[in-house]
Amino acid sequence: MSPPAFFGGATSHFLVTPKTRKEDAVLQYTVRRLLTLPLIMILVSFLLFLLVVQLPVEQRAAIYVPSSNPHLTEEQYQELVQTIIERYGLDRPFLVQYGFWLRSLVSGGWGYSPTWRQSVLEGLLQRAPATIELTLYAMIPATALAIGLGTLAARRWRRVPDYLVRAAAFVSWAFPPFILALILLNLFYAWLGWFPPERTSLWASDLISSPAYRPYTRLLTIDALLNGNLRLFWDALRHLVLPAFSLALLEWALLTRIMRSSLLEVLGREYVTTARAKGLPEPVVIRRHARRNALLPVISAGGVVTSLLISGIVVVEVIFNINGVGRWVMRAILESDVPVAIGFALFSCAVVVLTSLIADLLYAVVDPRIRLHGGAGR
Amino acid sequence: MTVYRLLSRPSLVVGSLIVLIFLAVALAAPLLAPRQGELPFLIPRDGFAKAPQPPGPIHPLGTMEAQNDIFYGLVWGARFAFRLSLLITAGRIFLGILVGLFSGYYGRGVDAVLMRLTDAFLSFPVMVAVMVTVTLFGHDTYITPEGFVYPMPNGPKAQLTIVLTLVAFGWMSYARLVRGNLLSEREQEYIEAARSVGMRHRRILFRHLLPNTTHGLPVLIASDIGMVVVWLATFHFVGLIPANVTMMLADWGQMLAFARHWIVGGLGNAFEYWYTYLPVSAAIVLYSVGWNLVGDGLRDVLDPRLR
Repeated sequence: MSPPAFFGGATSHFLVTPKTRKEDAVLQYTVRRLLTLPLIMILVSFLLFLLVVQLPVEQRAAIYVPSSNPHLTEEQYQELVQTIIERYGLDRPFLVQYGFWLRSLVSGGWGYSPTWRQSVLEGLLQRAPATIELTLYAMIPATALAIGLGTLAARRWRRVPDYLVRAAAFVSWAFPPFILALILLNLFYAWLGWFPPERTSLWASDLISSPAYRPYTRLLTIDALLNGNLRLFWDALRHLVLPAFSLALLEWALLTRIMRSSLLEVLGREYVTTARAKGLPEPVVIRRHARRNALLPVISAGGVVTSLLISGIVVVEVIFNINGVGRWVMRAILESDVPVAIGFALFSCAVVVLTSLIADLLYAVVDPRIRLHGGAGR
Repeated sequence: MTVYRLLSRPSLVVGSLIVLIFLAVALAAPLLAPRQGELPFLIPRDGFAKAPQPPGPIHPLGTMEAQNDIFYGLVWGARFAFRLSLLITAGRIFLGILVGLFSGYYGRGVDAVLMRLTDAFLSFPVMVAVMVTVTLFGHDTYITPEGFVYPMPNGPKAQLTIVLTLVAFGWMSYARLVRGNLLSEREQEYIEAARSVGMRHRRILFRHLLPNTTHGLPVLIASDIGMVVVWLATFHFVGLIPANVTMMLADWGQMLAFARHWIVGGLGNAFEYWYTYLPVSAAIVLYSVGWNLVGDGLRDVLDPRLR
């Protein structure tokens, strides 16, 4: 039941042992988990704020000063900094400042990015669709393949398919994604000219900004189909192949390895032997009795996978020059844009915490030992 | 018997072999690439040509854009990689074991607080943590004799920031592992015996419990060491740690980052400058693969349940 040791049980691992009524246990568990979400987010924001206040007050005030303004003399600059410190209460006690910050965060004031000359939240949301699209195209095939190939490897344990899957997963896991991305770019773009970088071709970006094109979801491939433009769809897809592949490989490797080892463990259990002894055909044993249990560790890896994914998105977007959240934050960080860095950190932590929460809830749903709706077996 | 079991795992043998070769290169660095100048980790520069030079008799693997010898960088980079990855992993182990021990031993309130803290740290993707700390603390400046202040990329402050961040945001899996092991170990009779003779908590923790909670630790350590180098290279490559042209450190990550403009060659001539990035990439990949193989092999040997 425990996740493979190679990431040290880093998943949030939880077993519900229903004592009285199963539904009560699930409900209790759900409520408890829902309550930890704001708690962890408060801890995260506290941690971030603790880091920020390590900077001297003047330096923090300087964040708000338009950078390299040539019209300010040294005296004027100092005066401006002092005004900012007073107006925003940067010299108040730590907890008071933290309270101010938390309040503005909740009301949507995530700061203003001097690099992009735009509010942080606005910039984040504006570039989110590109990133979401990339993530979907990476993760849906990766998860499906991981479950399928992990099952295959476990069923053909210590035979050719198992060795092949294991070798592929190992290499994908140990291979740095950014080097892979570079090799792919060099092979398929510079050499073969099949898959270009960036999000669209030039003619396509002209088309998108033209009034005839209607953005419905702002996910390019879906919008292209909704607009009935197959040529645009094909173009967007062509631009997604390499980044999605480089993004997905690491997660695929992780999930495949978890799936394989957990299914192997489940297949050794007595109830599987019982099912086989009843004379059930092997596919039914796998599908009905084993896979559901084996999926549990895969689900609880959700948080870890998301965390890896966020790091990966930054790398992939920078290398393939995709105008998404990752490139947005990297550009800003090169200019030492503190509001963007903090805003992105908060955002990605929230995403990770939320996914692990969903994973935990899903865990309770999938776990065959806990059934939400009476005893209706499957 | 143990030796036989260790040797019967091809992944462990191959992995250790790769790691040992790297170790040999790191140790023999002064012999393989004699140092030139005061600081051995600075790659010597040869001339001011504009493009990388292909491999030749003087530079066995060619030079980079700024005419730094690639072979020298590779050899001393091995030493640098070992230093950094071992240092960071050691810090992680120390912090993680400490948190795990306290959390598991004292239980209840302490455990709840420490575990929520672990969750909070776990929600930071590595890249994001480094982004925040580098933006806040990673800026070095130097002042010229004339009194001008210039930013200094990849200075000592930036390097310290990154090492500390990788430690501070990487101890969680160790803590969870140690805590999990400890929870089952805590109820054993020998602990009760130790407690009954009035032994102090600290002594029980570090003398009796610590040695028995290391199950699974070697596996984690081995794969972590490889991973750290990959992460460092990644940070360099995406520009989180800007390359310092005037002080070319023998750091694989920085070398690769510096080669980035020569990687994707022109259409039809994609691999013209292969020597600027292929040897360095190979070094990073092999280092990571080597340690991961060691970790995998160790897992097979230590935990035969999970194959």
